[in-house]
Amino acid sequence: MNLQRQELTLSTGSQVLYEYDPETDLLEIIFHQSKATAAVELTESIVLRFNWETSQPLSLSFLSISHLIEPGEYGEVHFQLLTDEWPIEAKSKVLAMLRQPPLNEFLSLSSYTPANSHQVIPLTTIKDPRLSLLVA
Amino acid sequence: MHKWYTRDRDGHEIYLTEERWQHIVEGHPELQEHLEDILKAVQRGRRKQQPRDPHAYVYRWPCDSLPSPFNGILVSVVFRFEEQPDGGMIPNNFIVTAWGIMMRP
Repeated sequence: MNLQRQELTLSTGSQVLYEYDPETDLLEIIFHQSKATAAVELTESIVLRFNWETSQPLSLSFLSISHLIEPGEYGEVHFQLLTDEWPIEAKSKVLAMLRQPPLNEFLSLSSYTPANSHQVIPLTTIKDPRLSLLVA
Repeated sequence: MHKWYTRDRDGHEIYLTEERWQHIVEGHPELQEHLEDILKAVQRGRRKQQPRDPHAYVYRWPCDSLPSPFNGILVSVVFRFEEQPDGGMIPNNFIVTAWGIMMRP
């Protein structure tokens, strides 16, 4: 394994570690090196590890990151949040984390309601432009 | 370097290297005692292709031996081919990493 590691400072002043594996295109953003007590698949390609008691995010993993940040035909790509896969007791906790630093520096939330439907589909977008530089 | 070999439900041979296992344990220490469960997740889990990368898959498997609230394992696997000296190609499928996750029962 030939991991590329880089420390970066967030707008809040806190330091995070970027760890990129070019062989497998896996990017992990590590907020705190600690044993997780919970984790969810945010999307089919993004995993969040966190501390269940304190709601502190520990890491975000992006599978096939270079594909995820490629713009689509219509611009930036949105990914469906897998809220139906999360245990009910985790949903509000995870959504609250996503709305706050440090996670909202990397992901933004949105939603889509198809025509003739009352169903709201929760979405997220990868928004940190530094990611494309890191995996270039 | 030591490698653990297993097969998924479709018969694909997939391996985990000692180096990647050590990286899993260092990065996701909650899986420290769960090497066998990671291999079982590949053997028995549901495989899903990554939406934007046809060579990358995840295997998802409910696992009740993890500490609560974890109740599942997610394993990232890449499917590759390796060129042989005679020019032939053989599969080279390996585990990238794994996570303990919370799944809706």
